[in-house]
Amino acid sequence: MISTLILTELVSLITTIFSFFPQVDVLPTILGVNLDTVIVGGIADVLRLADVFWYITDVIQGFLFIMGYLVLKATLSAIGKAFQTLGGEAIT
Amino acid sequence: MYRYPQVINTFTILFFVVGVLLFPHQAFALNVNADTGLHVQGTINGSGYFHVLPVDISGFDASSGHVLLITGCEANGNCDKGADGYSAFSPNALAPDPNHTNGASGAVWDDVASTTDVSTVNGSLIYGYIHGIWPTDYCSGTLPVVCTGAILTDVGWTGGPPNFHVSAGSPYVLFTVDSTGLVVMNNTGAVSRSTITRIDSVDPDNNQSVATSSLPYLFDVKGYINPTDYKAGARLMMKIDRNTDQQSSDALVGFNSAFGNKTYLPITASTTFDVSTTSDNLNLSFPLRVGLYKARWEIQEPGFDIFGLNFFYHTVIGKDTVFTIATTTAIDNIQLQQEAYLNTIKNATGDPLAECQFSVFNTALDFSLGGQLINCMGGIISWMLIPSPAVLSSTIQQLKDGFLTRPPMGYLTRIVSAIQNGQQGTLPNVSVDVPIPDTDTDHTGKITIGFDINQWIADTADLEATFQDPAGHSAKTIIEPIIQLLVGLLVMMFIWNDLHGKLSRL
Repeated sequence: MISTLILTELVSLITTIFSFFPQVDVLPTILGVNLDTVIVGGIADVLRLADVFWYITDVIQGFLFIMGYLVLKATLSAIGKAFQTLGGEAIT
Repeated sequence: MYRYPQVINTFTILFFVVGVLLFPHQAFALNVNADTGLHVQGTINGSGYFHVLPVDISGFDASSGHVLLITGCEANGNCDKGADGYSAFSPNALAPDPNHTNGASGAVWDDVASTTDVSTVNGSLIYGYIHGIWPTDYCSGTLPVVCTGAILTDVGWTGGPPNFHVSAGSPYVLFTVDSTGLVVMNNTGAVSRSTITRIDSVDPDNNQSVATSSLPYLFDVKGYINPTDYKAGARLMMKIDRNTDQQSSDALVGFNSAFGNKTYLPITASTTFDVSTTSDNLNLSFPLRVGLYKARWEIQEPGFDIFGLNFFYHTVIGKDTVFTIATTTAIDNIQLQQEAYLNTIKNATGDPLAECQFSVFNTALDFSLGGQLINCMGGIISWMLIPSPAVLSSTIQQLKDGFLTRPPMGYLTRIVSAIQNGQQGTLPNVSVDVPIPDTDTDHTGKITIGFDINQWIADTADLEATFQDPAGHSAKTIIEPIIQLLVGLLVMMFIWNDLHGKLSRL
């Protein structure tokens, strides 16, 4: 009940704040470039190429794995800095 | 399709085994033979007592909610069967019989919703009652002993107190099919629901909320009373009381509950009926105002009449409901939403207070680990701290709708969605116009060199398919593990070098 209440109130607060923003259905057009069309079309092309050059898929997976690693490292680093800011010793 | 033989065999075997094990000096067996229709008649050989009547009903197709009822009668056919061959029970002082309300015209079984002997077997509601197999002395006596027992498990009933007394007799095992749990049979076997005396619907319905703006409220009952149950003077009784749980301070509650607040509407024929009040007055000693109410609806018929005056009404079938009179202000709506929300939590997590229904003055309260008190505390703590899956799912969906689809996360969500739902496209053709200056003087001549990359890809795929090893493995099957290994090694090298600070020197 308590955790549910906290969770619900937190989500309600967040959704209330962001309810002032419009719903995003498509990406915007910037400088005449329809980003949504570009993204969708680009993904379609990549998928077509990956269907033939199948090893692209493996390369992309490796790339995404490295990106995930970097994000995880950056997150841990940020937590460490926050801990240090609050008075803890530096995590080395 | 009923599977009598399996059940009957199991029935017999279990009964015999229990009889031999528990009462070796009073062994008896219950032999049940299939009969026509939906009832089975059997006999008991020998006599004795039993605590548990083993009835295996697990073999039944419970999807339609079979009900198994057992009743008894002496083999000599002299046990007050009544004109139609089955025992004419009367609710007996020995044990209450909530299933049986009308003994005068044979067994009429009704309204199991109010009974306590309800169990769930194979996902369906099963309820049963054993009407005792009484001694010979009572068969011709004025007051047949009706022993009743509650369901022990899905395979048997416990009897007593007192224990069932088994004598040579003919127990009737009756089956029927009605998943609604209403009347299931009469003295001629199972009856179809269309001919069962019943209350189909009441208005306000159970748990309904009635807005104060709709007052005065016209109470309405729809149902059916069959010719067997119908007698001139039949009526429908409506009894409305304030809910004592929420309005216990009202001094009139007890009095009204016992004596007042009843309204009778006549049922003039044996047919379907739809009776309504013309106002919400209902002879109430209190006005209908905001609050929680409980209602009792009964089809009643008179015991006898003298010169058109009816006396000694008894209930053929009854129904209990609760309803709420509520205003419809914004605050009320919020309250109703919160109640629905709490009900969602409660339904998803079970009733956390189920183990907490005990008196603090109970000196025999179990304080041990696994006892009622500990389980009560555990249930409350669990209920307070652990969100239910239903609530979590609902919350995540709210977060997705209200946060992940709004800027700035909405743009990322859109990209992820495009990637997840992306479909293969057709790659654009590449073409180049090359001028041909020598063929004309205005320099408008040109040739177009085109490159259909899609055709190229298709041809490449065909070419790749032609590469196979002697075992028939394609080039992809052979090469892909090598490429995956290389990519994996490169990823590991990247991470290794990054962790050791070597990437900055690259």
